[in-house]
Amino acid sequence: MALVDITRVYTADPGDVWTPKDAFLLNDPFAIVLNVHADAGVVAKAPLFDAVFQIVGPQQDLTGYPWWIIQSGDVLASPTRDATWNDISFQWGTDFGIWWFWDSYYEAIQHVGNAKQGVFYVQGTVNVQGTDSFAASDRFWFKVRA
Amino acid sequence: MQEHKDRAAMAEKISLTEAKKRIDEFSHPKPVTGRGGGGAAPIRKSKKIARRKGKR
Repeated sequence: MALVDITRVYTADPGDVWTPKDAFLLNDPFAIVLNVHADAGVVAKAPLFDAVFQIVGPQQDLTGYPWWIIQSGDVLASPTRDATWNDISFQWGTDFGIWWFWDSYYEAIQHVGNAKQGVFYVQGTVNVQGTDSFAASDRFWFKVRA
Repeated sequence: MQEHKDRAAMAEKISLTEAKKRIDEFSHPKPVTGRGGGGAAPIRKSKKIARRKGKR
């Protein structure tokens, strides 16, 4: 088994992070949860790790309805919304959950065109600093409607 | 009714080409203000699992 592993990824209500939820209204509270398993030896050495929580717009055909943003006066494709949390210490044992939350899904993607409703997915990574260890999650699909 | 219209407009699908044509309309896009926040906690075994282990 890998020294660090993301055993589960899902979206959830930030008020109930242990229960996966796959359908949201635009203004529903929203969280991306990663369940992480770390080898006891890794935890004992207490390195820091960085985590990425990512919302992905699966429509990436530029002739269709991909996610886009406006930057420096231009419309640019921007297929993901990334939240990064760096320099996290191993302080919750070998099995723990980490999550990133917004007060509403809308708050997370308000600046992104075509991200307001549809079927999307989340995924995440964990990167242990100063080692070769990392983990990448599966995908978890969810739906948003206005 | 107005709220419904606003929500519908907010969720409108717009192609890249259309967005470029209408960029003036989006000249003041909403900034990335929703930074969110993080949380973490140990995964606690459920009581059901703990009881099962206890019976063994």
